[in-house]
Amino acid sequence: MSAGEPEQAVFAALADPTRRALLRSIASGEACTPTELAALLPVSRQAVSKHLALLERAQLVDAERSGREVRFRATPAPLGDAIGWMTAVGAQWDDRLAALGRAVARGHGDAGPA
Amino acid sequence: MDVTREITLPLEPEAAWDAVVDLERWLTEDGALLLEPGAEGELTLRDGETRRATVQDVRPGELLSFWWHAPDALATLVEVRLVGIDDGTRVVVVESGYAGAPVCHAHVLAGPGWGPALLRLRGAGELVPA
Repeated sequence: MSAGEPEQAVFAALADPTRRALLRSIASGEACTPTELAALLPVSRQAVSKHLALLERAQLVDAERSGREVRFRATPAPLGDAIGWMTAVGAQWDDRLAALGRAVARGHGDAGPA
Repeated sequence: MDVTREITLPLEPEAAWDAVVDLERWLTEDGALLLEPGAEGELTLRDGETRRATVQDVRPGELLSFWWHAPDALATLVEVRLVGIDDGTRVVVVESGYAGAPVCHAHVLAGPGWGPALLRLRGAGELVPA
């Protein structure tokens, strides 16, 4: 189960603390336009727009263009998918490491215990 | 974002290393990896999936890391670290996404899934989708 483009886009989007803060503000309803968001955080309006573009590409937010301002809302489904991927990969590694433990328990040649 | 899992083996790090690098005993059904940075190999996993792998770091008794990707998927980094403790060796696996990947792995990451837009650099070697 290899990470596809959508999961990777979500991980990349959330790797940046400013973007996480933006997503939190949008999701909580605290702010939803680039102007409001730039007022909340110590980053320029231009930086906010770049971050929002990345969040939108990861489909973590949805943009509604009405007149002068764009309004953003959080669309958390891809986050759920990414978390689902992490859970599935975690389970795979649990299985593999259990197999490693069994292989070692079955005897590993002339290697002695610690 | 990382996925981390671990197991403690009742072995010294050197013996634990021998067990870990014997991939067919726990990780793969088939396929081999030469333990050399840059070495590439095709692995068949126990669930039948195949991965194309590129070795990143080899430090016997300490660390084995490699990038891997399924056909048409992006690469992730797998780091297997060995830590000697009182009654054995902790084997800690971290599989992480591509964010922050080194520049030299662009060829591994720019798989078919990215399409023509590929990647562009930002900052000190951080790769982001174009």
